[in-house]
Amino acid sequence: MPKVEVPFGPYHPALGEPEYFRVVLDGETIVNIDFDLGYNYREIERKVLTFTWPKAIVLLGRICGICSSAHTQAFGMAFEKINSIEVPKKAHFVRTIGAELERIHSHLLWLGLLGENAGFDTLFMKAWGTREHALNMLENISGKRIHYNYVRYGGLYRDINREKIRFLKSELSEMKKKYADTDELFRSNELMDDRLRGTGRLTKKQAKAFGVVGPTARGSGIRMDVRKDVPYSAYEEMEFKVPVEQGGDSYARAIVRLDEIWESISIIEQSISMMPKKKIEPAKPVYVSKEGEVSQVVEAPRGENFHYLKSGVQTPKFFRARPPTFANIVAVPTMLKGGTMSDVPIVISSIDPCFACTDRVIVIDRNSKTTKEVSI
Amino acid sequence: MRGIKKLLEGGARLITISCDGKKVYYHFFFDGKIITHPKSKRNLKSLCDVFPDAELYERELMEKYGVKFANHPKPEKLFT
Repeated sequence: MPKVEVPFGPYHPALGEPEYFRVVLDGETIVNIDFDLGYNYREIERKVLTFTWPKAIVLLGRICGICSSAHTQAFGMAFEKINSIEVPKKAHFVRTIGAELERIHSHLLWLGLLGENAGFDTLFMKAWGTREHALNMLENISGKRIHYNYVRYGGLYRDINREKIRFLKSELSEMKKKYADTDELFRSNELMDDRLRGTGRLTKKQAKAFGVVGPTARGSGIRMDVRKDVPYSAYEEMEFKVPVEQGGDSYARAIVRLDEIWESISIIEQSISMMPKKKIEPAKPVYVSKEGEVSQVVEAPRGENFHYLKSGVQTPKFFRARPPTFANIVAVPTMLKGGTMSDVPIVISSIDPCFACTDRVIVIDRNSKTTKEVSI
Repeated sequence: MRGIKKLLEGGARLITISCDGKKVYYHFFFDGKIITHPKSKRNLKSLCDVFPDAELYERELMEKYGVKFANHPKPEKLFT
């Protein structure tokens, strides 16, 4: 039978962001899949070199609407390392709370989209309803629901007082109740089990070879988490588990994320109880830096986020970011091979791709021969 | 390149490869640390045989900075 080429995207109802996937089918079976990124390309890595330091960290928060905290935190920590700036203890705890809230809201957003792609709209409604509480808490900390630029060099944009902590506690307990329902809805549903189990399998060996990160790696049985491997902010003082699943399929990746939300809730509770009560001043803008170079990794919701910074006096000299989706997307063709066309939206959404992050770095040419592999 | 290959075979993970126009930097995660290897732009060999993920990073640098990687399995244009 002749091979058929089916375009998937760039504007497709199952994709939240514009990307192009070219699927080559032999009958019903996928024999190859090629992808073409670059529809969100903004060249932020180069643009940031023309920005002064106080502006640079704000621009970095704009790389991605969901990983806003991960990018500003990585960049801020890199700057603090170069200039040996000490951060108040309370700021570390608030940053940890912000990062975990970001993880919760990212995972719930992903869970909703997965439900929608799998034809389970109740899960979509429930997950996004639960996510509202995480957004409310982020607004409470930073003043914004999305693009919350609360990290500043040497501290925070603003302090959080007793009233805000009280609000955090009440919202968190409310969210916990709602999330317990959502979690049970997913786990008890046979439909999701049938649809996701065995779909998009990535073995441990393949995952290691591709160098995948975050929940995609943990779903394939690789125990890796930057928060445990290279602890930063207040993670050293926290007690939490790193959920690992051996299945390697879409279901395993989903379970890893669901378990992570519970760990994140526990980390936020620990941070609130361990946080120093004393007031801290908002960090003052820093205009001048020492010259130096440093690498920094943080655990973004989708996995390891890497920043490499070479600083000049008033502006960065060289900057490179490797967001997690860029490391994960190369494994998608392997996950999909042998599956059917209906698996495509589910497997793509199972790695929780963020194309805004990825496109800041790379464009893949689609002028290559259709039967060739993208990554191996 | 021999040092880098040894590092990779010893269980290091390649995070990414970057270039500032003058030098090429290999970023690894090894033994709980991030190791950065600066290399001259000349006489570089592809790491794809040891680490398949290097393909995308190398193609990006070929296109953006004109860095050449010998024995690259797919030295095609990357940016449209």
